[in-house]
Order: sequence, then C-alpha cells, then structure tokens
Amino acid sequence: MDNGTKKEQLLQELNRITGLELVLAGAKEMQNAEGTDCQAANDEGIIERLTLLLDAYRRTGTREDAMIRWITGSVSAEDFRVLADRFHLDPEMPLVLYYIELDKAVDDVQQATRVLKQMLADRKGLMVLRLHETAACILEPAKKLVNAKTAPEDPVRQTAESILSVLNTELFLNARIACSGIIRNVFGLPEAYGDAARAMQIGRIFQPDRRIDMADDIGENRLMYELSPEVLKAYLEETLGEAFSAKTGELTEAAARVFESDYLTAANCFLENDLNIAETSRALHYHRNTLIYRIEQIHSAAGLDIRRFEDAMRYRLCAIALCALHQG
Amino acid sequence: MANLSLKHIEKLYPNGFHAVHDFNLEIEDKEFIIFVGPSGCGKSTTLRMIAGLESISDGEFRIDGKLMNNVEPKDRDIAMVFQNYALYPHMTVYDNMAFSLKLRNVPKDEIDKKVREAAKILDLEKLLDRKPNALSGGQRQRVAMGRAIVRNPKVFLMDEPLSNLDAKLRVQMRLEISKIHQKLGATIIYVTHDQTEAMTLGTRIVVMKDGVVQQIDTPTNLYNKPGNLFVAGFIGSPQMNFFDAICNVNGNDVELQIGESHFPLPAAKAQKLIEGGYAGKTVVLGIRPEDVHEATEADRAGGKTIPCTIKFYELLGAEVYLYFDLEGMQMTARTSANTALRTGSPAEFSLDMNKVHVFDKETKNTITN
Repeated sequence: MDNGTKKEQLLQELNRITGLELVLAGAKEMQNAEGTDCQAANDEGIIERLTLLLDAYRRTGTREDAMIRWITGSVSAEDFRVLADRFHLDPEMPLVLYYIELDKAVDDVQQATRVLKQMLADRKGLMVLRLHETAACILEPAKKLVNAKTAPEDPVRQTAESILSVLNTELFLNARIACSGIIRNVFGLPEAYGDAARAMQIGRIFQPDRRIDMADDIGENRLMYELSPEVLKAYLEETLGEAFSAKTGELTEAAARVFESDYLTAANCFLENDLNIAETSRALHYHRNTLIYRIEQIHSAAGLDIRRFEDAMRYRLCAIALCALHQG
Repeated sequence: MANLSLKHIEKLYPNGFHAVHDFNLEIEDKEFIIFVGPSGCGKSTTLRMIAGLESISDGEFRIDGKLMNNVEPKDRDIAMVFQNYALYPHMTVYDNMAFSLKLRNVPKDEIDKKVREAAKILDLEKLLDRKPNALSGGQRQRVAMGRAIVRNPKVFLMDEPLSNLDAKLRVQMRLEISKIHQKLGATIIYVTHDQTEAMTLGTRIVVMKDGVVQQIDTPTNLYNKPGNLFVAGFIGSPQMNFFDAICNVNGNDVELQIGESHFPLPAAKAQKLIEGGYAGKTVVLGIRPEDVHEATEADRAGGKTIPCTIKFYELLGAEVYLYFDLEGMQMTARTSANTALRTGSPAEFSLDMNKVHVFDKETKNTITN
C-alpha cells in the first residue's frame, strides 16, 4: 500500500471515530517544492502522527471511556447524552456501582480488570472501568434487583465479597470496595460515584478493619464525619463531663479504657440485642457476670448506664465522635 | 517444608481498634492449624496478616526462618481459599484452575501437568471440560481448592471455605479437606467459627476471643482440659453447665456447695483448691452435659443427687437432651434415647465428680485442669 492510500485510510478512520473532517493542509505545496526522498520522509512523519492521533482517539473514544468521563464529572450531561446515543447506552437502565480501591499501585492494574471481567463474564451489560492505577469501577445492570423479593444489598454485598475474594486469592491484591444503592438510571451515576467514594473515605476512618462499605448504610458515622472538631468536643464534654477534656481532646485514663475495642464490641452487641444481657452474653460467648462487670465499668468511668437505651446511644455516639476527632 | 513462626504479633488499626493482641504461635510443617472463635475475635485478621493482605503492626512473622513482615503477598509462597470464592463462569474447570498460572506466564506443559495432578487429588479428572454452571456446589468448592493447589504453595490459608455450603455438603467437604491434607502433606491454616469443624479437622486449635489467644491445644485437650471459662463454654455442644459454688474445706476434703446441694470433690481436684487458697471462696463449677447422669441406687444411698423436674425433653435420635433447673439455673443432661424421662417427669441426677471442672471466679482460669 502506498503512502497516499495509507494517509487516506487513516483520515477516513479518524473521521469515522471522531466525526471530524481533517485536511492535510500544505502537504501538496511541500511535495512540489522538495525532492522525492524528502517527500517520502515527510509522508512517513504524517502517517506516524495520524496513527498516534488515531490511537489516542481510539483510547478515548470507547464506551468505557465515555462512562468514566461521565461518572468522574469530566463531561457535561448534554455531551453525555450524545455519547450515550453514540455508544447505544440505555439511559434508563438501573445500575449498581462498585467502587474498588487497591491498597497499592500495581504494575499492571489492567490485569486486575481483566480478571474481574473474566469473573463477571456471565453478567450481561456489566462494565469494568479502570479509573486510575489504584482504582476501578464496576457498573452492573440492576433490573433484576429492582424487581427482586430479597433486599438488594444482599446480592450486592455478595458480589462485592466475591470481587474481593478473587483479587485476594488470584492476584494477592488487597482492596476495599464501596457499593452504591440501586441507581435509577445512568444520569444518577456521578452522584452515586461520589457517594461511594465518600462512603469508603468514612469507612476507612470508622471501620478500617472492614473491607466493604455500603453507601446507603453509613448511619451515624456520616453525621459525625460532617461535624467540626469544635462541635465534636462540645458534644463529648457535654455528654461525658469530667471524663473528657475539651482543652486537650483526651479522655481520662479510666474513661479511655471503657472506649477500647473490647468494651465497644460488648456495648455494640448489647445494643444490637435490645439491651438483653442473656442474649448478648450468648452472642459474645461471655459469662453474664463479665458483661455486667463491663457495663458497670462504663457507668462508673463514663457516667453512662448503657442498660438505659438513651445512655447506650450516647455511648455509641461518643465512641464515633472520639474516632472522628482523632482520625478526621 | 514450611515452619511458621508468629511472635508477639499485634494488629492495631488507625482508629485505635486493637484487633489482635500479642499473638504467639509456632506451626510445624504439615500441621493443620485451626483458628476458631466468635465473630470479631481477630481470627481472620491474623490469617490476613499471614497472607500479607493486612500489615503487621508489631511483632515478627517468619516462614522457614525468613522474616515475612514486609514481603509482598505474592512472594510468600502461599495460596488462599476464601468463603466467597467465584469461579470464572465462561471457562472450563481446566481453565479455571489454569488461569492464575497463565497470568504468571507459567509454561503451557507445566500448567497442564499441575492442573491434571490437582484434578487427580480432588477427583475432578472427569469434570475438566465442564463449565461451572454444570457443577454441583461441592464440585465447585473443589475447583476453588484446585486453584489453590496448582500453585503448589508452602502454606494453604483457608477462611471459612465451607460457610456457603449447606449442612450436608459441609460434612462431606470436611472429609474431603481432611483427605486433601493427608494427600498433599501441606501446612494448612484454617479459620472457622464452627467448633465442630475445628474439632474434626485440626491437629491443633487456636481459640481466640477479643483478639486474644485463649488456648492453643489439641482438640482432645481443649475438650477435656479447657484452660478457662471461655474455652470451656465455647467448645462442646450443648455447652458445659456452669454454676457458682462455695468451696467448703474440711481437712483434706473439699465439697462444692450450690445452694443446699453439696458435691464432694475427688482428692486430686480437692488438693488443687486447697493449695490455691480457695477455702470459703466462690468458684465456678463446670460440668459437661454427658457427665450429668440419671442417679443410680448407689448415688441415692450416698445422698449426692439432684432432685428435679424435667423442663424440656429434646430427642436427637440416638441421644436425648434433658433440661432441668439446679438452684434456679438451667442445667442440661445428655443421655441415651432409651431414657424413660419426659417433659414434666420427676427425676434425680448425679454429677460425675471426676469430670468436674473448677474455675477461678475472678480470673476465669481453670483451677483443676
């Protein structure tokens, strides 16, 4: 194939992908003015540049790229409608978004997306998007979940757990996943992406030991995360009295002890079991006297009798506020 | 060969959550170690630290003497099987097992050899051309195990691998895993919250609670010689019966008093309570349901029986659980299905005092074991 035909083909391909009419201005004049060797070198240069341009457009001109630009907010809604039309994206399709962050940048993040594509290959219409070197996003059509009898968070959580399992066991990658709720249509994606990213940020502060965050189940952690240190300190001082110093932001030694993980686990379980001592002891495999001892320690050190619902809630909120204050 | 050494391992998260405290364990080659404990006890976190998926906050972890704290997970020569395994739906069983090796650019003939060897161990040879949707739950689980086996690792790490299976399949797979351990001769660390799985699979069991190791021992020792109240209550189903009892000492004789009932202790156990200075103090008496018997004539003659009325009768086929009260506390007896006792029957029980466990009420540690 001669250089002229090659150039022509490249221009046609560019036109097909971008819709732009490109003209090689000045090429003819240059051809006439200089010798044949120079012309050939010039042609090769043009072909190389056109090929690079074409590659760049190909990379950015995919359905996946359109989605990435949309969810990350780098394209307007109007432009996205055009892209959705061009890539035959169903704008009314309900979706679930899984935002995945790898703990470390890996040499080949494409390998991770390749493995995930294989793992989820039987899910029609699913997209695995590579956001940057440590983050990816999965969009899964959720029509079935909308009509399902079970709570939608169950299959969503299961999928997230399977994704983590594959990343852990096949690629030895540690990751954290935030899942959106069901997004009504494609236009809700940017907001859902923001919510998922925030859920993960909040999860990393309040529940660093967990690896899955549900964007619609952040609860009171979200409230505390939004508050300023001054407001948090004021709340802690008001609730814990002398057990907390707003000046230093620290608890007394005795109070600090009853906000350690073993006490928090016991108190959270007590709250989850409707403040029932027998049920909580059973769930925690504690002797009931151990549980009662811990409850009394909390009462004596923090002034909160968690056998009363309002004090149990205050204790829980104080624990979250302390975490937000020290980690936020 | 794989000897693992965990010394003073700690896991402290940035929010102050102390997930694992001072974990110490030496694992010999070919051991089947179980981490067991209630949800949130730190067992999975410890496993993930061994895998390298969680950083170790403090302490040293070595494999065959080599410090692993900062070694990347992929370079630790381990393989993992987790609860929520997912097979590649469009690949055959063969390709599912071969996929991770292909990703690592292992030569084709080597992949073939490893996959066929693993398939033989797992009895999957006839299923290699099938796709996952044509497999049963147990077969799928075996494929997931196969993906780990083809890596030929020094250590297998398994985190609740049977949790997604139904009860019948779990029993089958438990046997399969036991067989695989024998065939491979590999070192396995297995996390479960199910004490039956722990007791049937492990050569040694690590019992954890609140991030702290409670006891490391063989299944038999954990059952017969629990180190503290938690282990005594956690291992065994139905649970061990516990009562607060006053320790009455008279010379070399010791009897435990629960309300108006008095239970004399055998000499060896009595000696430990006397030496420990428990005279007049309250201790915790523990006795397993199978050591609570229907009273014989001899027991009645000795006057050491518990008169009661059966509150509930629970038939389990070969055996029966009988529930009754002792001094206001519920007690369970496990007896033969031939018993004539039923709900509402008056009854008399005796305790096998040689099998009684006594615990310190404050420290919760065993006194008699």
